[in-house]
Amino acid sequence: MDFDFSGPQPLFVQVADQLRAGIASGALPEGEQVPSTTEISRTYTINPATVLKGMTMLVDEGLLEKRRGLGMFVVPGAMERLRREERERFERDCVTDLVAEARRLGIGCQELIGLIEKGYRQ
Amino acid sequence: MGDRGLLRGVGIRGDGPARRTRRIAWMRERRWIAMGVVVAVVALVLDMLLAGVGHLLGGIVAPDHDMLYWLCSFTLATSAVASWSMFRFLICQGVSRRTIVTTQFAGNACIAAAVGAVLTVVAVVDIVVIRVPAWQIFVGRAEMIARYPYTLSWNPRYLSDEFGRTAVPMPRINWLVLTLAVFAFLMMAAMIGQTLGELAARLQVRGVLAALAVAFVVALLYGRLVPSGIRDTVDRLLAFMMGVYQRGVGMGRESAYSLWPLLGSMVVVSLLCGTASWLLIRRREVRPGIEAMA
Amino acid sequence: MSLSVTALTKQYGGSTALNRLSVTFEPNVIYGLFGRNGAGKSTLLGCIGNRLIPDTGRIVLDGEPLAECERLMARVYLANERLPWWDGVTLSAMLADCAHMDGRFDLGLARELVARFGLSPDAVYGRLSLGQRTMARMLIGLCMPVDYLFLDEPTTGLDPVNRRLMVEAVLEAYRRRSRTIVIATHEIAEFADILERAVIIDQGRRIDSFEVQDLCSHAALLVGPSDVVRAYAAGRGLRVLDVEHRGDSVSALVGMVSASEPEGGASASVAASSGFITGGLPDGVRARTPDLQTYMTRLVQRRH
Repeated sequence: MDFDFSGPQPLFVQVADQLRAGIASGALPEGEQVPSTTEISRTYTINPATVLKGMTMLVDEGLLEKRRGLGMFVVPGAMERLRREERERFERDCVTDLVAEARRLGIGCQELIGLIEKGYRQ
Repeated sequence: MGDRGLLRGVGIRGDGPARRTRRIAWMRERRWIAMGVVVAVVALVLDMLLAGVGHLLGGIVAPDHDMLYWLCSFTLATSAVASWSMFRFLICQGVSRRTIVTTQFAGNACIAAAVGAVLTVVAVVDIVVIRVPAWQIFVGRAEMIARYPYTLSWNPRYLSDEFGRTAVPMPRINWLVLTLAVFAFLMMAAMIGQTLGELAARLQVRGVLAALAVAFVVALLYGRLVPSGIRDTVDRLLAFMMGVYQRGVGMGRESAYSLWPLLGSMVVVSLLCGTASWLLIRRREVRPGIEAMA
Repeated sequence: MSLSVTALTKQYGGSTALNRLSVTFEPNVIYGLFGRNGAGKSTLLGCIGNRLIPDTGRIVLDGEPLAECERLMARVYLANERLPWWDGVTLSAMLADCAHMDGRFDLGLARELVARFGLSPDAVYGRLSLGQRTMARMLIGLCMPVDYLFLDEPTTGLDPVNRRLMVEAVLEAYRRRSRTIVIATHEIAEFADILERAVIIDQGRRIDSFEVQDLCSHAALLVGPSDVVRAYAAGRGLRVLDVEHRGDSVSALVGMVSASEPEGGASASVAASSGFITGGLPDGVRARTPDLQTYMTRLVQRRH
């Protein structure tokens, strides 16, 4: 699992986002342990407290669970939930924005569907 | 994430932090004690060699100089340099100023005792192995005290008292008295040296040079600046501190020797110098310095 | 259970180095201590390390005064530009000295760091370069078995590669032995990722202290027309900390007026991710979170 912490957001948010992406993509399988705070801290030269803060965010969201003495594990069903949430977010944000942008440019509904179909063919 | 609890201060050797700082202070102090003893012994050996060679060559080198002056000077210098230079290392390693002062105090006593013992051994060897007349005077004043028959009394008899009896220096030295007398002299020198070292650290280089210049000028002009009556009193007082009772003036001056004023002076000087050193070190700091030199 | 400094004052001759400075260092946290040259960082650390005598104020460790108390001072170590040993000492001699003085000195880590920094154990300290001497002093500090470690300018004279190594070394030492490490440095960007909290000192006073990860809810940069930005800040009760003029528009650094907890503590993490400027920006005004270096630099500039 390779992380990329070069974004402008606070580091702990990036940690959470990267872990979330890993869970959604399946790179961090359900029921398995995620890399420990020590590992991530050492590999990416980040304060362990920051890593823990990001993981705690995911614990609060119910995506990770802490097993005493063992570490952080991906909650079963997390991947499915994340994918569902991302679909909802896609629909809520991207689709709405797309339609608004299309309206602004004067593209009608049928024309938009045609453009989307063309996009899928490529 | 590691243990977030408080760590107990127990070392591998099982001792706590306070003993650690005393151990650090003693590590450093031992070096200075060794240096002080080595310097004194080297000075002694050189001086004896010089006197011995001079004697062998027919008395070229005048024998009646006071070796004790040199020993005291070297001890004072070693002690001053020690108190001036030890401070920074010890403070940086977490030793308190109180421990620094008291450790050096103890170190001064060790140097004085060690050199006193060495001198006694040398004297014994000198008498047992080979008698070189020039070497008899190598401890000057201390030897006078050690040879005086009434040294241990509070009111020693003068060389010729009112009843016409005379007291003559003994042919044999009282070794205990010699060791104690040398110890007293060197202890005072070391304590004064410690205070001077603290003072030098306080004054910085410019202040030290200024103080030295003033001292030099005062020493030169002492005879002219101070009236003879006061000078006389000062002389008597200094002599008393060194265990020499004096009466009479000029050619009629007589001396009597005793150990107790000397030991008493040692205690008083040690207390005064110890207090002065403590007061000076209390405000002594290791200022942020220029990186490059330690 | 912490190291707290209360109303510390120190004057050098006519100038005031510390002006009733108060700060608290909690256990097992990595702090960044920032301030301009002459702000008082080194003086503060010198007082904590019992090297300087403050005029007034107290330094207390776990409830007891720290100065001159050897039992407590054994739990604190300051690594700055002064080397406690004589110049002619070799690295291996220094390490042996440290191990002898305290059996818990991490000799293994020390040797590892010596190798990692490319230093030779038999090198004489006085003959090393400026950067090498810094590395030697700092790695000794990192291996000291203390609860509160203070590093004063750990990257003096270091090239970029060694600066990176130093950052990693600090984190490595922290992982091996969890303790408070306070790093007084100008290399803010390089150390930012390993810091948990930051303390900013200016003219002998602490002007800010905060969690580095909460910077997004602590301050923001507003860019836009001067009057619009100022009105918005005034309307929202935001304190304007520094203003840069760029033609007609300004870049204003604003901060929360009070230091109290943002509302909704449980969801503060969510709010934090989007910054505390949660919508409602007037036209022409953009907001973003400053990075740590920008925040610190502009905070002490205080231009209006």
